[in-house]
Amino acid sequence: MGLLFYSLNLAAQDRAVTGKVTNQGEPLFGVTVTIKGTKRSTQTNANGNFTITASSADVLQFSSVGFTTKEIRVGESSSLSVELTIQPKELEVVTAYGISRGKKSIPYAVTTVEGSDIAQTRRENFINSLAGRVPGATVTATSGAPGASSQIILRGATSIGGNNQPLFVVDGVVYDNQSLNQEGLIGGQSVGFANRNSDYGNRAMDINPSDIETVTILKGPEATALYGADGASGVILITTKKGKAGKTSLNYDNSFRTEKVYRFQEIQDVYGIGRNGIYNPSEVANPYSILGTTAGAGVPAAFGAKIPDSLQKFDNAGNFFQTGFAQQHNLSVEGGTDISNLRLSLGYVDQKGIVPNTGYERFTVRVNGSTKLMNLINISSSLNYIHSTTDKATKGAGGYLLNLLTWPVTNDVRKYINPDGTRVPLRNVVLGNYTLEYDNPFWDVYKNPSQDKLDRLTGNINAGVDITKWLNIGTVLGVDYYTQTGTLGTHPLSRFGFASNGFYSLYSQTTRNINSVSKASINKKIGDFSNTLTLGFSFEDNQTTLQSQKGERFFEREFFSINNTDPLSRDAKTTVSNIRKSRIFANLVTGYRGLLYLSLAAAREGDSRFMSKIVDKDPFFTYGSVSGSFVFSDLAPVKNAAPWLTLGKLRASYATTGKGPYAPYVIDYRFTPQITTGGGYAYDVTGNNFGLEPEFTKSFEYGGEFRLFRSRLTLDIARYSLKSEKQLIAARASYGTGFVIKWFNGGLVENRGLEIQLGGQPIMNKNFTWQTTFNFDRNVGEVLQMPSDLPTYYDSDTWVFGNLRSQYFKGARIGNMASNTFRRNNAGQILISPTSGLPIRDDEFRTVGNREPDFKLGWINSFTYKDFQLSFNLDFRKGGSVFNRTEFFLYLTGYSKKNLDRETPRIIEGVLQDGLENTANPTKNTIAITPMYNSDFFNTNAATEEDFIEEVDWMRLRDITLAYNVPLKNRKVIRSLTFFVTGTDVFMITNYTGADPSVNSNNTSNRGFGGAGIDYGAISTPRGVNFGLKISL
Amino acid sequence: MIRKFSKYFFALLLTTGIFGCKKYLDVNSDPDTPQNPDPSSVMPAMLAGIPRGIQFDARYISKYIQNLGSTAAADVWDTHGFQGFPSALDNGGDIWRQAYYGLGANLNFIINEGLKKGQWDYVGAAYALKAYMFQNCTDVYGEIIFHEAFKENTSVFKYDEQPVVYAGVDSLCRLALYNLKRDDLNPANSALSKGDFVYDGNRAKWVKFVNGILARNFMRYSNKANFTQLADSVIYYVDQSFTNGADDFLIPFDATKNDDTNFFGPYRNNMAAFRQTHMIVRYLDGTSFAGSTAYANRDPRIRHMLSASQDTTNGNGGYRSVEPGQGDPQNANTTSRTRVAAVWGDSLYANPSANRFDPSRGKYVWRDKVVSPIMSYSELQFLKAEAALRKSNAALAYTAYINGINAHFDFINRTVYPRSNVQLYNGAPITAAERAAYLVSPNVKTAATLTYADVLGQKYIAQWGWNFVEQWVDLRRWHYTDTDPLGSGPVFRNYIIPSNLQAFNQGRLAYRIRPRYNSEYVWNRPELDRIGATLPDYHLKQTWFSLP
Repeated sequence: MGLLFYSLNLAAQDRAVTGKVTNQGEPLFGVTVTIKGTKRSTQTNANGNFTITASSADVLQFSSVGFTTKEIRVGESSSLSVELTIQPKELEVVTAYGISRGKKSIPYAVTTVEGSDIAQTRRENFINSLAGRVPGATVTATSGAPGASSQIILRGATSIGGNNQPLFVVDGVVYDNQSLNQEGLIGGQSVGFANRNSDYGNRAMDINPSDIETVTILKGPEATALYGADGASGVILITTKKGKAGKTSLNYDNSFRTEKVYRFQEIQDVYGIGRNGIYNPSEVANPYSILGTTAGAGVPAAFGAKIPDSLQKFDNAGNFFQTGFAQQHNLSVEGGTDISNLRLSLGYVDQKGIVPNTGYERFTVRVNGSTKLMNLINISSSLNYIHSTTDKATKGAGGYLLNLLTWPVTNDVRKYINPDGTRVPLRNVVLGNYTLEYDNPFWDVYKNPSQDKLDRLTGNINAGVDITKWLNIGTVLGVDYYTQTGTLGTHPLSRFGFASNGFYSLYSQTTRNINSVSKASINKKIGDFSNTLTLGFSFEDNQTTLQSQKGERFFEREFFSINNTDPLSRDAKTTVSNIRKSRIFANLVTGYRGLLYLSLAAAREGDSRFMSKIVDKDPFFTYGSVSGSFVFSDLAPVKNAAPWLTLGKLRASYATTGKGPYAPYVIDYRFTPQITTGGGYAYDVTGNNFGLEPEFTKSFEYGGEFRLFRSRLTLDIARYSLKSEKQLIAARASYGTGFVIKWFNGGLVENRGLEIQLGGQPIMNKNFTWQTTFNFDRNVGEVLQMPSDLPTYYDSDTWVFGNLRSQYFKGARIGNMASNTFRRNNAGQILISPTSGLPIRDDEFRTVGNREPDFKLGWINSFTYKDFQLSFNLDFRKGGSVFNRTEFFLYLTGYSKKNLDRETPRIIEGVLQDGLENTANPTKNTIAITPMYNSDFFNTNAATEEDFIEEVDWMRLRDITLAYNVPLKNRKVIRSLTFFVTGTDVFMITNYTGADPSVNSNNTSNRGFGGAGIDYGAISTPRGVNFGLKISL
Repeated sequence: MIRKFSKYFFALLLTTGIFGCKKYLDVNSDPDTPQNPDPSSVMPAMLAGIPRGIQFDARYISKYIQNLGSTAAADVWDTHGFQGFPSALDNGGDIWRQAYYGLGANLNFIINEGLKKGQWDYVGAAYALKAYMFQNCTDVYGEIIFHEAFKENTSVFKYDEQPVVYAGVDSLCRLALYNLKRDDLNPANSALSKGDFVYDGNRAKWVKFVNGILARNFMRYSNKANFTQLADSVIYYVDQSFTNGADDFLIPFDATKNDDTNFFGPYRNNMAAFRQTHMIVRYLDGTSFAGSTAYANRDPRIRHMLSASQDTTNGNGGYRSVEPGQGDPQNANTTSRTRVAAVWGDSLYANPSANRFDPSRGKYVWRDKVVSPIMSYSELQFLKAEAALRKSNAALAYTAYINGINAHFDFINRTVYPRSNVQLYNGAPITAAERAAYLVSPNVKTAATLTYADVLGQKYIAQWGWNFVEQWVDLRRWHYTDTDPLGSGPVFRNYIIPSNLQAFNQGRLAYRIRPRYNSEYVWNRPELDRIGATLPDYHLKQTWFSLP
């Protein structure tokens, strides 16, 4: 096929030209040296040297991946010295379907985070390291416990009742990021599952951060349009590290971390157990009957007399929490030629939590390889195996944290077990009825074991053929297969295990996702117009099967197994989800002289979730985008007038995307088995809806990108608005629907926002450089119209304690919270009970806060001084409500610092509800109360959730790293050696009175805005210090 | 060659991509639960769902109608108060739940599937249950969602006035009758016997049941000017309905676990704070009908229906009772032998077997494995007797009255029940001699002396403990305390207006329950504002049927 066309016309003046190629003085291996216009080429050796036969008139081209290509005329010199400069990476950006595009042509905001920046933070769940680094991303960890899940939302929640997490794509293949939905598990006599007391991780956390080359966040309309239903909430594209052409290298790094939790909800230790100021060791508080309605059940009520100085007080929190320790080891081998490359990496994480008996262990193997066959077909493949184990403790009501906070300071929490192995009850009155009080925190973490295990194998094959210079076709096939198993046991003597004499739950969730994308790319230049047309189609088949079992009534008290339960108490349940999608798409990018770009994208998607066996449904829907960019800095007049403007680009983009319901099988009727007399089936509480259509988001974005003074100063601004109509929600409504919950389709949610990324390199000299980046974002989400005119919609999972929940009304903001409030008269004055002098609670739910911050700001800095490097990430947030539910609980039980002021008599400001409250002369309240002697002052009538909502600002140092590159004289054996120390979550300055405002009362399987901003019984993020080294051979 | 191959490969992939997609996507049905079951699989849950609504709400209605009273004084329902809006409580909202969700939508499914498959028996039975549920629903709540119920893609449901609903119930009954009488059932599909554990698929009995609903329906017009014409309809449909106690519509329980056990039984322990009232005791101990509690005047049914205290020296054999609103003053005194006994048995003051199955425990309908009656032959005979009296046909009324009394003795004495449910009587059944003695006692009147008070009093006894909604309709039709046009004194002789009636009521008694809070007050408020259901005295507003 004429592969070896050599110019036979070897001119007489041809001679051997030699030279050396370097970068900053370091020899470069594997640089391709080609004589321009010919196929004659060679490569540099390990010392950077090359030899090629050329004439003086020839022009040599030096090219290597990652470096700017350079051309040099041979001239008369016979020995050339060539310096290649590193090509600035941001010029090429991987976009939808792995298509690389010059950044100039991209008409929407794209943020790229380097894998090294992520790995450097040494976080087990890499999502947490994105906080502050991506404008428009809101990261909320469920808690600071090992293996905790983390939620990420890009540009505000667009669905009030659907999934708002972005799509994760690793090397072109969709990477599953499910969180186990607890509703698939079976509760017991006193154990319930509602996504609030356990965390099962989010599966994107399985990725080893050390394997990440870059993370590209696509928030913009065009990219998401191409990914359709799944990408409607944004796409996080992860490119993993590949072997590079050149010398084979061996890299190893490690890190050892100690961590300590340093922020707690403060508690009062002045007043002891009792009520109305009188000491009584058996007095309890049981707000909202969280411990059941049995007499004597509750948390010891701290409404008694002052604790006498003679009594010993214990530092129970200090005695309970331990220093966490984590170690990480990463080993990789990589190498390759221009034709083939290979990278093998091993990663190991072992984390022992700050809470006894908790931990997270992960082992990962990844092999990435690629080769080029016959100079024509590019084949790459990767395999990734992950094994992880999470040992966890329960959170929320009945979990160790709340129990620790309400543990009387006069009682030593460490004495939790009798010599015979039985539980030490806190109150003697319990007399063997262990359901009357919560477990001792130590008992809880040691005797109620809970563990998740994961085995995951993901892999992909990626093949591409350059059929002609302008046509490339390729296909990617990916498989993501994992099994997550887990157990949860409650000891027969535990609060939640006593009634059933032990409870044991186990599950096994298997997910098998297959997806493939095939595409053809045509690159053709016609005159001044460059054109790239991509046509393709994709398939997806996602299957998840959750099998769960439970048993009660243990035979052996200490043995946790389903076999140890009474066979009559065993129960099993299967939940299957199978979703298939198919999509055809097209994307045309046309550029005019590198100045103007126009991009059109369209996709037609079929989603199995819209199929029906009963009615005729069309599962296909179409969406698309139109966008353009204008690189005005390349205009000649601009170039002349403003030579300091390296790049000036304006862009605008409009797109539509569709989204399916969060679950399959909701179009056709839903029936559930009945256990009433005669058995059979009846409709599920959630009613189907034959008429459901895709949720549609119309997004508009415009902005600009500016690089000044040779990119010393960069600015990227994006303004956007997202209008999401036909919201798909399963909402409670009038039973007139025939159901308790019903699928609705309608309404309108709008998100508007501003994102700014400002970067600069204020100092750049040989010894000292300083790079700094500000990431600013602000999003305002509003429910403009409720689906089917529903008066309200709430997420019942967030209703974890007291009467506050994530709830929407027409006109509500997207982070809206609603709760009971005090009853007020027409003039807005609080109504007071004429008999007690205490306020009266109103059972209606009213808006009391919005969890969306006013704005967020991330400030990332990186300094290098000679061989030292210092970088840190400061994260600011202004405003946004956080409900301190933990404190609300403590207040109602007497442990909050707000309970301290109890000896001063006071009159609650308000008017009496005596029939005159709405007249011109309401009766002013004059009833004085001394809370110390009237503990009702602290009960749910006199305190509402409203009083525990805080507008929170924070500044937190997410991470800081100091690294030292050991100067090496001989780089033949050791190429580089770096020692580093990294601190994570080193400090937080905040006006928040609780432990950590960035927690989630639920887990990430929650929908809509979820439980973010509701702080209830979750441990704060601990402070960690990592030491380690990186070595490269 | 490779290029060529690639081209073909690509072309092939593209073709598969465009065609064959819809089939590929056709996986949207749950492999774990049937999404389109046969009506025979849905029917059992419908039958089991009826007692859930009635019995749950019986905890409240039974107090308005003084079937039962609270052990505690000044109970909110004993004193004709209410719960629910503006407080967020669903108490009294279960009939609402069952009418729309528990049964309603499911019955529509049975009807639609049955029509498709030619299962006319299921269609008819489902219409019958729908008529029954909606009749109950409007009886309890007054204005309800009828025509707009089950409408798709809306969250706003308009309410209909009672006459519209009663007319709608009539139409549902006609549809039920039409379908139940069809003989051209598709033999390829399951017959009604498969899912019907009440009548075992006996369509003739279902037809009678529907006629019973119609008879009840016509009695809703008893206070209207033209009722004398409609009274014939009551009589006609009663005659088309049950012919003896074997036709009674009784829903049995399996009593193997919480959910298939009688809500009233000891296992589920829901009746611990409920006690028999003066009203029922006085009907049965001779006070009401005979004027004295002398031994000869005591109804032999009393020992099967009511519970006696340890101390039997009170003059009626120890059948103590609570006065509504007053509770049992002795209740907290655990050593007192004069406490009012719990419904579960003589000399019992607490639950004998909470959370434990014990078929031997309990009394009358207050057992784990006894039927929950829905409609009885006895009740219908009293309906006929009242209609006949309204037409001044004393002879007809007397026959029906005696039939009704006899039928209720049979009701207690019945020995065979569906799904092996246990008998209602306590120890030995009532003997023929006891019955005969009762029938000639001063408790039972003659054709010449028969009054409304006798008919509705006996009906009260026959309906006690299960027919709460119908009993409440009777009381409201007679405005609780109306004077007997045929006698002296009130129709309901022992109905006691609690001395501590809720102050807010200003002497008025309850006529309706508010629609379910967590359905209507949260999600359908504008409609409630429109009908006045957000007014504080809505529960005191007379229902349409009780008005002239």
